[in-house]
Amino acid sequence: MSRDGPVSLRKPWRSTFCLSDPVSKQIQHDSSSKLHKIPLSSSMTNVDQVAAVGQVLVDPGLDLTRRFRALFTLRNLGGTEAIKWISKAFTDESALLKHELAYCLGQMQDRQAIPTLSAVLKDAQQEPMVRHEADPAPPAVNRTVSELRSVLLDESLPLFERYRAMFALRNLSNEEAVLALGDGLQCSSTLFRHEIGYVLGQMQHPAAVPALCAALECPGENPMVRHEAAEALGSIGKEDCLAVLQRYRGDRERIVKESCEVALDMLEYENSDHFQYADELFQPFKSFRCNEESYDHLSRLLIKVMDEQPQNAVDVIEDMSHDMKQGLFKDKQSTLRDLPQTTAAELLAEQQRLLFSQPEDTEQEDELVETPLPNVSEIGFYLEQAGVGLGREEMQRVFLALKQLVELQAILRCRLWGKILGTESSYIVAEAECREWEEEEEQITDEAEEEEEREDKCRESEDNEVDPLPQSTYKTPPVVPKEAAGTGANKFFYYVCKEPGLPWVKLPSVSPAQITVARQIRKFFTGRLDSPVHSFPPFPGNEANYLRAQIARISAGTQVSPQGFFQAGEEEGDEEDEAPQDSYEVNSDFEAIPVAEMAESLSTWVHHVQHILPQGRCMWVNLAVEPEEDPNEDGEGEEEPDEPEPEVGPPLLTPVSQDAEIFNTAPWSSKMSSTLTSQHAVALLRSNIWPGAYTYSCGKKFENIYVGWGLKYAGEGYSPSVPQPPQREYPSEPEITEALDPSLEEEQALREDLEEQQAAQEELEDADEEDEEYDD
Amino acid sequence: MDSNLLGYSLELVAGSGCTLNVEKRTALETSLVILKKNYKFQRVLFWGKILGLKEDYFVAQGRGEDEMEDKKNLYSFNCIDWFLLPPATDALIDLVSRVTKGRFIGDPSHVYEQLEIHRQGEGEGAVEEEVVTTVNEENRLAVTVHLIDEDVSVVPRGAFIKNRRGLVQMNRSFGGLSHSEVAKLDSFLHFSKPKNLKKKSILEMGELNPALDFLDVLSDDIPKGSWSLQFECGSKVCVLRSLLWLGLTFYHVPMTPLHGYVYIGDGNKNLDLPFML
Repeated sequence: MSRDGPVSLRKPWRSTFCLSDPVSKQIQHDSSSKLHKIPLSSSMTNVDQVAAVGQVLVDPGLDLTRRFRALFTLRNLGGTEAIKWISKAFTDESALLKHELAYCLGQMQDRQAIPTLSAVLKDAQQEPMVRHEADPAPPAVNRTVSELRSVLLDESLPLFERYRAMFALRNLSNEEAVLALGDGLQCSSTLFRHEIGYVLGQMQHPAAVPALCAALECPGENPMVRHEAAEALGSIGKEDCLAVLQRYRGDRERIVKESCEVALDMLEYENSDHFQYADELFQPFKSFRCNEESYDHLSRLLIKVMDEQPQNAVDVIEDMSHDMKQGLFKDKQSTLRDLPQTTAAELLAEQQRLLFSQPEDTEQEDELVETPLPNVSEIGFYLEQAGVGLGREEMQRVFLALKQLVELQAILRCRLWGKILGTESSYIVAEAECREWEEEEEQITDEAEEEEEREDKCRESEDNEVDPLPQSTYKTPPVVPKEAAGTGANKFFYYVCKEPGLPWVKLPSVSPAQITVARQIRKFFTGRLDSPVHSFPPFPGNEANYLRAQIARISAGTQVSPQGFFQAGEEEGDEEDEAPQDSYEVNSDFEAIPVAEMAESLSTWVHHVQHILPQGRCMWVNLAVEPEEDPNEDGEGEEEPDEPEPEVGPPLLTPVSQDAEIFNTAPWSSKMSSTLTSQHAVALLRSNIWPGAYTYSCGKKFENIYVGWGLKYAGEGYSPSVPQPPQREYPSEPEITEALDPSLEEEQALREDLEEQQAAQEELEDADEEDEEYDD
Repeated sequence: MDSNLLGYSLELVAGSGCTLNVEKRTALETSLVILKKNYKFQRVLFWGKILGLKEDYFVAQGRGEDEMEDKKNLYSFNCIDWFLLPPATDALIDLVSRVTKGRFIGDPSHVYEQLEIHRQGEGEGAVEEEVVTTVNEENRLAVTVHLIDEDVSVVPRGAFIKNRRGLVQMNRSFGGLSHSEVAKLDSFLHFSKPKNLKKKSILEMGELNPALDFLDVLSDDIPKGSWSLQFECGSKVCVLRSLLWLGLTFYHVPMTPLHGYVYIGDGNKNLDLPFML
């Protein structure tokens, strides 16, 4: 098969001569026979297979087109068997088929066909058309067209001469000759007209169409002539021919009807870009586009058909041929292309396109209401000065995603908190102040209630048992209550997304237990919020909780601002000193600290996020004071020696210069972004405890950002905490401790001891009795 | 990363959080050209930055004819004045690994001291001798840069070839990895002397191309998962981050020859990696 698709050799289905083909032009001259026959390899002429084809031919119940194909196959197969089968078919009713049978026998040029043909010729029962085909064909002569035309049309001349003229005209095969032959269709001899129709079919010249149409359309015309006209039209295969053929498909005359059907079938067959009728292709010409010889190809195809013997060989033969050619096809590069796969980049771009959609209406309100969105491009600029950031384009996308977040959620204020890298993907974190605290709280209480219910159920099931199992004496230490949303470690809400443009996910609020465990473990984030955290001590929650805990720790450790930017809130002035303040407000009188000074001295920076106490909360809770609901635990509460010392962290707005060193490492490094143009530089503060946390300050502006793995500096190396020693199963008491069995002597000694004791006691008792007597 | 494509490359690795500001970039672009001329390098790479407590070291790497053998590392504080680092010999590596710990200070003359007690003789006649071994930070820097290159320098498969003379050189016909190749860790190679390659069986070696596969594959690294492979910047660039040396970022744009790596970190190996996965 060619590289550009199936090659149609575009040959008329029955014509012997392809006018454009030089090979067949030669054949034209040296062959007087109707077809140039090439025998097939002997392997093909299997008796059974011929019989199978023959069965199709002689079966009057089958489609005429199938039977025709069988006939042509038999003809090409040749041999005694084929002739036998073709001869059998002469008993058929269809004159058209019989006519074609005789024609094929003639083409086979086999002596064995002679008896049959002569029998047919003699048989007066057969239609004249059939008998005529059994007659041999005359040779051609060389004359001019006009001469030939006059001979052709001269009714007085012998038929033999006129036949010769006809064939000579056919061999000239120009338009003049075609028109001359078309005139011949008006001759009086039916046989001759029929022969002219056939010759015109061979020539396939479009100029013959009007004459042929006229012949077909004439109802008084002999059916045989009309049949030849129809077939000729079919082989010309023009649009208008098709229309005429379609029209006469339902003709009263059976031969005409069948001819039209066959012609249309052939046309369809040819136009379907598949291989044509076998008879045409058994010629060993090379197809001009592929090197494959059609003859070899067809041989292989037939072998395949015979090997596989498919049920519907006729229907699938085109596909088989196609498959076989594809199998032979070597160079696969140019035609076989991969299916274009949608890449991740394309999918993401689709998602991110939404970030760039224009807002529908830009209202004037923006000027009045303070927008929750910070001036993001300015922040991006300063961060770049400081050598921190995610890249300019990425930063822009992130900020657009923040805008999207603000539009979707009811957010009071929001800012880019940073990015936490994970092993599979990263989290972009936005910090937000929300108005809707209530919803969150309700959910928490629901969860707590559910847990209690579960515990109750467990207890009930235990009580029902007849022989209760020994109860564990272990009491879980009291759970440190979570800080309410809007305070302490849960002051802000955090939203995360994997890529800007993908949906934002709200992180759950953090519990003190999560913070305390997060301090003891060291794990990478995977990038999947729902993945479990495998660690020791076990982390209570999944990665979303772990992420939230780390965010709380990082915020508490590294969120700093220039001193004086914030001032303590005044509203809580009434409270006692010990309660750490958790509110601050922007100092309107703040005056910018010079950048050089900020880069020089750490005392110009202050923490503005509350320190998280060892308890895991920012506000200390005295757990020793149990709520009074639990009467059982009252006794133990009293026994506790003394009130625990309240944990106190540094107050809010403590300068960072007071931060403790860990692992002999200064907690902060500060510098200026530029030494060359220091007057316009920004001051940069880098945390050494949380690598990746940066703060810049420039004039009255500052911003905190964290980009890193979410891990604290671990100094020399992290050593995971050792599991607790296993609990002892039971207290070791004398009852259950093993002792050596006493020997006989020991037993006797013991017995004597006991007897002595008894004796002594009896004596005492006697004495007592005596005393009592005295008392009385 | 190649100094000629510094600005573009830095944008692609910026997802790790560290970039250079414009001042530093332009300074590098100017000074590295001079550096290349003075040291007669074939190519100059901006290698990265090691963050010290007081100052940061900027490190550049010059490459000669053989990209793997002829390497010279230089450091600078202001990105203009460059100082050559001493070669990292085995003895120096051993010394540095024993003596130094913690963060870099940012002072090349800073001396790390380690007090070691050597005992000579046995029993009562043992003589205790206190030996102070010292190493300065410049040597530590040289060793650290060398170790990072040994452990985690990355190139895509096919970007470098070993020619007939045995020299490792850039493959000028490298057109980049395809989108399907780039998602697999075995398309990336360590750009250092192979350690695992000889251990491979003949069957495995049969599939390798000796001109291209003369390096170790990243997917053979132990522990598994010591690399994080992601697509960033709108999924257009493949980014590899080492979890062993946190701060090393490699980038490769699929279907283009653009690739490179940079280290911006504190210069400490992540020894906790097995606990963290």
